[in-house]
Amino acid sequence: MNDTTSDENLVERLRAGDDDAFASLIDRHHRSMVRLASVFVADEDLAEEIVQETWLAVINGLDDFEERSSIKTWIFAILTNKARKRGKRDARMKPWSSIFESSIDEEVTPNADRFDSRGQWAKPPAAWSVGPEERLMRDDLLKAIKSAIESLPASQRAVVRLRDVEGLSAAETCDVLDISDGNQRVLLHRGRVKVREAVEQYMEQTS
Amino acid sequence: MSELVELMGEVDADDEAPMNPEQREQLLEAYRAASGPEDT
Repeated sequence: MNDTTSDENLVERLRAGDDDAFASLIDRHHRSMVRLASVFVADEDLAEEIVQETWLAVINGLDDFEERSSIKTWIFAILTNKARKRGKRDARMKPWSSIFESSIDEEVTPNADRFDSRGQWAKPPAAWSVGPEERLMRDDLLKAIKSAIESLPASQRAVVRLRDVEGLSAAETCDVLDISDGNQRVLLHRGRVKVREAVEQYMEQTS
Repeated sequence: MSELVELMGEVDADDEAPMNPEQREQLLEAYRAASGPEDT
């Protein structure tokens, strides 16, 4: 389903006080929100707390939503704002500055020679999928990918989640996380490389 | 890379644990209260 197209009708219904529309919004985005909040906090209860605060802000802000972004992007931006503000006053939170502000210089891009200047694979790795037997391994492969994403440093995990798992654009991701496009590109690139390596390792072990 | 990105978009497909029902009901109540007719 196209989020933006379905959004138009959804926002209209939400503003009209349609319970089912709000319930559907919760069902569609709640888990993603908890997973995003979990990037910024180690504690699942605190992640749920931030998400709950976000939902209340969504309820109170619906009339002010200008529809310049998808409703998902708007909700995620509220969530990261809440997380950022909480980080300043809650010891259970990772300080925002420790997540993003120093993230670029912390490490060298792994396997940089495998990519061209646009960040595309210079020499694509061997394909790992498609046959019927491989399909049987699909669930395990998805688990390996998920585990690799969860193991990424917070800044890379946030960007990879928003771009590759949630399907946000680069611009939307920058808006949600309040980071520059350059920062976003580097974090995405590094995160993808690590996920790719983890998946290749998994494939080697299972072949 | 596109194959990997495609797969990454599916990692949460089976992770659809719903919101705690009590919490969900509280939010729906808050939504109803906010959407109800304004006091005059």
